[in-house]
Amino acid sequence: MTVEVFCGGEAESATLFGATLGLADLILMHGASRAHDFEVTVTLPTSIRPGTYHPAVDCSNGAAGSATLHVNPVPGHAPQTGDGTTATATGSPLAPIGYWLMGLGALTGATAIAIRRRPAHRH
Amino acid sequence: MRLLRNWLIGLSLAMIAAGALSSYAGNHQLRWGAPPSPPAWEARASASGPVAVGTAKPLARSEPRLIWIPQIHVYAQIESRGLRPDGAAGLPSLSTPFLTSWFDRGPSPGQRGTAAVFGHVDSYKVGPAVFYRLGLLRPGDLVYITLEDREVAIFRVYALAMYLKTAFPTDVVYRYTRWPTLRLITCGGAFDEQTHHYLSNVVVFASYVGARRWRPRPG
Repeated sequence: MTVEVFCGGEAESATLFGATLGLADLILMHGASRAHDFEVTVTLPTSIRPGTYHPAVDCSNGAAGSATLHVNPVPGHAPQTGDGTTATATGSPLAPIGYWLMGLGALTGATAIAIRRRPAHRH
Repeated sequence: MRLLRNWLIGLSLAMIAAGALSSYAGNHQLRWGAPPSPPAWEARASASGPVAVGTAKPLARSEPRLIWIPQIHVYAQIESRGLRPDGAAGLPSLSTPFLTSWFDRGPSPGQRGTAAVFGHVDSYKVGPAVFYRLGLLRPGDLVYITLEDREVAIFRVYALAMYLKTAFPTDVVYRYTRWPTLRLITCGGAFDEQTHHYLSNVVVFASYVGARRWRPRPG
């Protein structure tokens, strides 16, 4: 996170009060590209809680203010998005085709046996 | 007559054998096939590296309502969900497997930062669910999200990754980006039949490329 402040005339330094963010109490800010402009980049601790923060900034010329920082929460766990149906459920269209084939085969076999048992027709 | 009889017996035996084989194979074959995974070539480095910054203006906050991913035929509603008490993201119910959810404690799609949309990969109700084909997306594919204010935020996929849930890198997936980015997240990888959970998550990384006004389809 980078905090930038414009202090106005005669300011030679600026300080960020980092305690509310879990950082050092006093953080000296560096001069930026414009005169009387100061900035500092800090890394927030991962333990910081979601919410809105207003860390104070003081300038050496007596000016003061605060930055506004919104910390959003992020999900803490990997999501469970599925129940495994496609990875586990079995049964393809082949199965009913197989049942039909077996039924038809049995019927054909029965027909063949019936032919065999039919008595020969004699004149 | 004898020839016909022998021929019928042969045919009958052949059909019974083929039928038995077919029904056995059918009963042991996965009905849909496991969800597609991102290819191994997709380097995780590209997911954690710098995001391509565009020239379009980021959008104001507005709740997402619809997601359209033409490449994998996804056209689904988005509902807003926050955090569950255990700290995980709120998700749609498995009984509504074609809904997706937006993590409403973070940025909305098109705002600066990382917006996250979740969807189920499968469900007992339908088999393949809304994000079943997420792993088939490739860099360059487009994702369209229609917002409450009738803007359509357009994102381009720039990386895919699959992470083990036990090592899910929240700092990479949800990290703040100065440019608007999007994450599409679902489950994938191997399925653990003991815990009834997939072992991994598939994550698609996309970057905002612009917006257009939503127009109803003619007719």
